[in-house]
Order: sequence, then C-alpha cells, then structure tokens
Amino acid sequence: MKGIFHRLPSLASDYSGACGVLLEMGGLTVLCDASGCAGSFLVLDDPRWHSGPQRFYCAALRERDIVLGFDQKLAGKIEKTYQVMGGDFVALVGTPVPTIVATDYRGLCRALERRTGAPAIGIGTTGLEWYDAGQRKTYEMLLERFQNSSAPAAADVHVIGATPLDMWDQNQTRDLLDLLRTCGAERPAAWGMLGGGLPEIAGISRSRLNVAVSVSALPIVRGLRERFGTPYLIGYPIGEKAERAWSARAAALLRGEGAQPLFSPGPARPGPRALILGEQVAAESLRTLLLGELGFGQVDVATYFTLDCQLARPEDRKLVEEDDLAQLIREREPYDVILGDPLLRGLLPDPAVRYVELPHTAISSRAFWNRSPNCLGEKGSRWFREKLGDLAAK
Amino acid sequence: MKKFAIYGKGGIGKSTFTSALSAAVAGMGYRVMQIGCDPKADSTANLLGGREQVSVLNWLREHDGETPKLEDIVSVGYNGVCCIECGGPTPGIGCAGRGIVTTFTLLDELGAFQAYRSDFVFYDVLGDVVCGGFAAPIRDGYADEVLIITSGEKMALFAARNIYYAVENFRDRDYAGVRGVVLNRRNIAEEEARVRAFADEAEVPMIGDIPRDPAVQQCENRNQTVVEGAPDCPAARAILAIARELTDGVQPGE
Repeated sequence: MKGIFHRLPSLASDYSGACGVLLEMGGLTVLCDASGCAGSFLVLDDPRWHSGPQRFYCAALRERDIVLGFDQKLAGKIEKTYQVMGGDFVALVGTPVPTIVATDYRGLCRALERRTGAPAIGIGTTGLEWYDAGQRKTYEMLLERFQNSSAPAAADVHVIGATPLDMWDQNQTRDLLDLLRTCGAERPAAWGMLGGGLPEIAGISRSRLNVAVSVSALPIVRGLRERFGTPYLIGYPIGEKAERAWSARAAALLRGEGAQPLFSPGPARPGPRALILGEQVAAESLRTLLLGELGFGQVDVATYFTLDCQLARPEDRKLVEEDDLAQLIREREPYDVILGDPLLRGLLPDPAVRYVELPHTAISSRAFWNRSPNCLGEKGSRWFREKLGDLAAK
Repeated sequence: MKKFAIYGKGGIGKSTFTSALSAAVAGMGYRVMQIGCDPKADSTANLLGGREQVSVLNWLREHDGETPKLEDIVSVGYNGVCCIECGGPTPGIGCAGRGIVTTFTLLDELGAFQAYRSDFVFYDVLGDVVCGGFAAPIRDGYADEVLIITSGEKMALFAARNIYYAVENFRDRDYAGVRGVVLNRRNIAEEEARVRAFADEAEVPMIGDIPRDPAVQQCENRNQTVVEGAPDCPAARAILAIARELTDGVQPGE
C-alpha cells in the first residue's frame, strides 16, 4: 500500500533529529508541540533522557494557544524556564503544529533574545521529514548563528553527525576521538557529544580536519571545505584493515597531504553478496569492511533515509515504500546475507534469509539499544566475523 | 532592493493603488515586482491588461507534488512589472494565510527576487493583519516598510488603526515598520483632518493624498492603471508623487 507504513513503526522524525543534535549542546531546547512529539523523542528516540536531567522544554501547546496565537504566551513560558534552567542559547524546534500556522521562528527568536539575553535559533522542522533532514537543518542553523571567524579554535578536528539516532554512544564516540589523537589530532571534538558545543562550532573555520560520520553531516563538511578549505573524511573505520587505511588518511590530511578521500568503488568480483540496510555513511563504512577485509564480492546499500548521490554506488537504492525493500531483493536475488535493523526483517520476501541484526534507533527506537555493537576498528572485525561465520574470509 | 507591504481596509483601493504605484515606479526605470497576497488573486489585473494570471496556489493545486518554474507563476505586465498572485486554497477549506507563507517560501526557493533583479517589491495584502499568514509580508526578510492606505471613513480608519497596532506589536521582532499613511479620498467631510489626526496619533507621516478621480474607474474598466491610461489626471499625478518619494535616493539596479 503506497504512502502508508503498516509493518514498520513511524521512523524517527526530523524534530527528533534536531533534538538529538541539540540535547548536549549546552542550550535550552524547546520543542514547540502539544507533547506527543516530545514523548516520541524523549521516551523512544534518545536514551540520554534516562541518564540524567537535560535542558529540554516541551511547549505543551493547546488548541486555544494555536487558534489565539501562542507566540507571546510561549515566549513568556520560555523566558521563565530559561531563568530557572539557563543555557548558552535557546533553540526552538518545530513540529507539525507550528508548521500548520506558519510560526515565524526568526521573529520569535528576536523577541526571545530580548527577553532572555541569550542567543536564540529556530529549527524549521515540520514532522514531515525523517530525522536526518532535521539533523542537517540543525547543523546548518548552528553554523549560521554561531560560527565566528575570529573565534579561537576550541578543537582542531571536528566529528560531525554522531548522535544516538545512528547508534553513537559515548564509548564509540570516545574511541573515535582517541583514534584521531593517534593520527595527530591534538583536540578532537564531537559536535553534541562528550562536551562538543558552541565554542567548537564557533571556531570551526580553524579546523584542520572534519569527519562526517552520518549522512546529515555530508553537506556540512562539504560546505566547510568550500568556505574554509578544510579537508574532510567521510565515514569511520570498521575493522582492522579499515582502521589502518582510515588512520593513514586522517594522519596525511592532518599533515596537509593527501587527496580528498572518498570510498573508491571497485568492480564486482567473486565472493558472497550482501545487502546493507541503514544510514548511508554507516553502511558505507561497513561496506569497506565487507569488501576490503572479509572477502565479499558485492555489497549493495539501501536506505529509507537520505541517499547521497555523490557517495552512492550505482546499485545502491533509496527506499520509500515498505514494499520497495521486497521488490529490490526480488530483483537482486540471491543475497547471501542481509544486514539491517531487526524490524526491517519483517519486510523481507523470504524470512529465512541469513540476516545480521544491526539495530538503528531511527527505525526501532531504543528497543534494541543495548544490543548495538561498538564496531570501531579491530572490534568490528571480530564482531562481524562471528556474525557472518563461514561467509567471512579467513 | 526595497520592499513595501501595502495594507488597508477591504475595498479601500489597495490593489488599484498598488498597481498604479508599481506602474509609476517601473516607469521611472526601476525593476518592479508586485505580489498579490489576497485569495481573490486580482491584485495585478490592471497591470496585465485583463490577462489571466495563474496564482501560485492554483498552480500547486493543479500540479500536485510538482515544483513550478518561475515563468509558470510570474507574468510580465505594463512597464515590465513582474506580477505574482498568491491565490488561495479551495474555497471553504484549507488556510489562506498559510498559503501566503507557502508562496513566499516557494519564491525564496526559486530565487524570484534575484532572478528578476527587482529594485522594488510591492506586497498587496488582504484587508487586515488577520493571522500569521497575513503578517508574513512584514516578517523579517520580506517587506522593509509598510504603507497604510485609508480614506477618512470611520471603518477605514478603524482598520488602519488595527493595522498600525498589529505592526507595532511586532516591534520586538524587527519586523517592518510603518513608513506612512496614504489618503485615498472618498470625499467625505473633514477627510484630510481625520486621516491626519490618525497619522499624528500614530506618529507616522502622511506620504500621499490621492484625490477622488473618475479616471481611476474609467481606466479600471479598460484593465489599466491611471498611470498607464490617464497619466495626467490628478490621481495619477498624486501616485507619481508617492512613487518619487519612495524611490528617492535609490538608483536602478542598486
């Protein structure tokens, strides 16, 4: 049935993507909703809510607030909340309710800045797009508002795109930052994780290297290269071999050497065939492991989220409808293994196909959060060799 | 680029005035765009000689899910004025105010102002600032200044006062401010004094006084503005004077 998901739950929405980026940025995040969107994000889409207090405020809009024009009332509520909770800035995050009445975030932010004395930004999320669109809009707005060419460099390497919606937790983020240190980074930081916040964004023009670890960060690192000439890396190393290659590239770029590193497509060759279902940069990183270390002959990627055409290979596919996945698999039979979120398994035409579960919060929320592997570097080799068994080359 | 939003009571002559003002400013060598923000989509009729203009919302309704090209929704009228009509939703349902924001967002995405290198943009807005959508023309990034057009009639001044206070209400948002009041005469008693009293109360200048002139109706019947059809008539001269004031200090193509 077109236009309706009836076997998958609602995937993470753009406002969840925005809130996920903002939650640890040091600001007061205000979700302009009735409360259901806040519930979706806090209860389902982000595990951090359960780990301690956050500067997060649900506007709790009611019918009369909308019909009568809620801006003044909302501004008053935010001002009072800000006085109690504080924060480096205020971020208004949109949902379907303000979208319908075309709330003017720019104007509302001006008023809030006068009331609170803190900078305010509005993220025009609508609830009508997926989480990656909300993440991208948030990164763009943070850059537009806070990047300052005269600010000092709070970090020399910036990891952009790591949020729990793409299964990034503190441990994996810390491991990646540690790896960057071994490549020559002095003060690597991850935006919105482990303390990476406004000072880092302000000084981004002095970055030596930017690393995009999810598809929402691709337009950001490309834009930063255009504006400031900063080199970038796409993806992160899964597996021993990939870690060596990735580290060598990162180190070369930090020394000011090397060409722009994109994954280079190779021709199909003998070996098992795999289909990866998931966020494109994570899938690309995993494809490198399967093709480069585990002896796979062909690896395709399919995603319900953004498929970046520069990064995609010709066989990769953007999925829209639930049935698109079964259709793709019938066209491409036989895959020896499919890797993806546990809930996507229910869409497969043959439930007996070999399937490796890779939880993705943006699809299955926190349901499988604790089953997510930290696959960075050598750990990835071990984990995937165990899961793929005889399919993986010795 | 300078952008003005024209507000006033329904039926006061906003579209007639705005079209004549666009024609006058364009005749002075400037590139002009007029955007009708009324579901009736009749703001630019006098600039287009009666040609039908496809409104943006009508185009979107008839091409579900598609994005128009600028030439699909922009017509070039008298003196090269670029004419756009927001239009409205299906009568009786939908949301006209939201439709204006949808249109503005689309025009931004299509780069309309840059594509036509407009020196002046005039938003002709439905009667009153009734909701967020009809306030869109005065939001940050759209109109720089507001013109309020009124006669000396009680209800016209009532609407003018409401518009003024609505605009003032947005002062903390850096929205457009009121540039001035235009008197469009109905020839009632003490008309100028009444309108001047309002302007003084609001502390804004009266920037024009358009006399009651039969040429306006005669031209309108021919789908023309007075600037085109009767450029020497008193009403046309008054509008040309306003055009000179608004363009003062602005060079074409600046």
